[in-house]
Amino acid sequence: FGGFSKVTNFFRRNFSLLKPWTQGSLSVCVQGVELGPRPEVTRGRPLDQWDELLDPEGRVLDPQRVKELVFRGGVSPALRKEVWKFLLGFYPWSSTRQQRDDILRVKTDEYFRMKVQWKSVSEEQEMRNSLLRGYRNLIERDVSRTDRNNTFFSGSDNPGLTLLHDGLMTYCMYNFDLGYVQGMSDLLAPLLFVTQNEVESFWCLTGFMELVHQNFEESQEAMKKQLLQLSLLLRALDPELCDFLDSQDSGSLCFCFRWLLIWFKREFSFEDILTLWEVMWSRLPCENFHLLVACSILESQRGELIGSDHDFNTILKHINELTMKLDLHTVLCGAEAIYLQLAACKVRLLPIGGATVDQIKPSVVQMTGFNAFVILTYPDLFTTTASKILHCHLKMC
Amino acid sequence: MYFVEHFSFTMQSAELEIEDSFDFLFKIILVGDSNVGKTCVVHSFKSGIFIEKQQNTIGVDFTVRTLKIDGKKIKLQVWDTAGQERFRTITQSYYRSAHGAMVAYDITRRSTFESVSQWIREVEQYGAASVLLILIGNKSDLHANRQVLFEDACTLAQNVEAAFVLMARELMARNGMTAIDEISLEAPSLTLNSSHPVRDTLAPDKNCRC
Repeated sequence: FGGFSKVTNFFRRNFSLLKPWTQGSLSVCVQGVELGPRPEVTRGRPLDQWDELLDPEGRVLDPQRVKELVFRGGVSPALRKEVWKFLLGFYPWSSTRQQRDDILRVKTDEYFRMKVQWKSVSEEQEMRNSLLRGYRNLIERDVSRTDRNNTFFSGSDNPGLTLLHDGLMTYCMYNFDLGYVQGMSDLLAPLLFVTQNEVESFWCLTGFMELVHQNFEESQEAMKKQLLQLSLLLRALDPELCDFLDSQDSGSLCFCFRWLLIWFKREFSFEDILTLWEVMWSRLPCENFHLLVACSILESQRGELIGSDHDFNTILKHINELTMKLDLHTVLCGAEAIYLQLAACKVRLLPIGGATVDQIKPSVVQMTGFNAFVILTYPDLFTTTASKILHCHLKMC
Repeated sequence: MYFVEHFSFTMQSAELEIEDSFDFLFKIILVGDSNVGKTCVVHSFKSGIFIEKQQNTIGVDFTVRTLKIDGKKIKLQVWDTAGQERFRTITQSYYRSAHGAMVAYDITRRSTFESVSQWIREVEQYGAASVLLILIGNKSDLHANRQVLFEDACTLAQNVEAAFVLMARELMARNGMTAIDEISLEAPSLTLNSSHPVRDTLAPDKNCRC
């Protein structure tokens, strides 16, 4: 059909993992792939032993095992302050206690050097620096309305407010191009709450931002891409729900924007967010686990969405009103179950032009990105459904 | 029946709230710079309660209120949007099919008033052609810090394209309904253009179940 080359180009652009097999015309076709049954998932206990996971010099003996434990059960509150610094890359897993002390010293200096940079800007100077002025204004306004119910930020003279403000201002110096974008205060607040430390929370923020900074970029390309990936994923999991959303002009899933921008911060209680984030920072079982979390929530709402005659407007309303009503345990079990279901899915490929099944499988198993995976689990890739998705995508651009 | 006037009317005389059925459905988008108090305006409209430290809005939020006016059930959907410029990509998709737009600014911050024209252009570009516009100067309880004169807002309102019905009013979300009541008494005299009759231009929503 006429749009075929468009679709091909689109997938080439967006699914780089398939490139080796998509030279010239499409050389890999995907035959019907059926999802198997969804396995039962149980979660584990929070990680509550730490010292025994370290060698005498303080190196983490088995980082992978720690990540697995965190993925499975989160971290007990008392250990968060320590473990988060590893999860967010402030301390390398292989570092000794001594090395960590050194890192902390160097990073403390570096932090205060950057802090002085904005602190020493005079009022007159700032008059001529509209960018900095803009960042400062936004930060001041947002700090005064971020997690004010939390004891760390409540009341009018709480020192936590200054810490939040200073951390965000210093982040502007760290990454001036990005500066401050709304939503970032939501990311720093829990880090401050857990570390109770200006310097450590700042470097944890930089680690977190490594994972999500693209969400905040001017172009919003990363957000559009994730919404597209989410829609492809959902299409593979629940075509009926997708058809319904399409029929209500909601196929672009823009009502999930808030979820993805700040990793569900507004959807769960403060305590639950600490758990959810550390689970996602483990980067297990795949990089884009947050998209599976989104799928898990959407699937849990499918009956309500389809059954209640929702339209474009009320879908958004319903999704927004899920805030503080979701059960984290159920959502996480659901997300992992979806992962296992997808991973167990038997991919049958019809190789054309030299590609073999063996060549393709590793990318599926490794799950370096969801793109390839979704394509491979997506039964009717080059049918009208694909063009519909493409259409959604183009509309969003 | 005039949409703008009745919109202000609905704020002061909330009668019976009926969620399920309605005679008319109006979708109103609320835009304006960050922290001008959009969410507070919506919140006090919905519940009559002023919340001092409202979280910033990420993406788009949504409030519904159904009111009875002249024996008709009017369902209002108010779409509250994020103010920061880079999120406009996402908020713009909600402009379409809006019947009305409220552009809010903070009377204590001149810059938020200066952005109003930009917001109006935005609504013109992405909204429907017949969208009605209201200008809201918020935080009028902080008049000691006022940076925008009420007359400035009226001048701006007069200069806006004829396609818009623009009414300048000032609100105190803080004092909720009381403040709005006082102001809405003056509202008709502030209507600078004749309002479009809603019944002529809008058919009842397709989801109408009455």
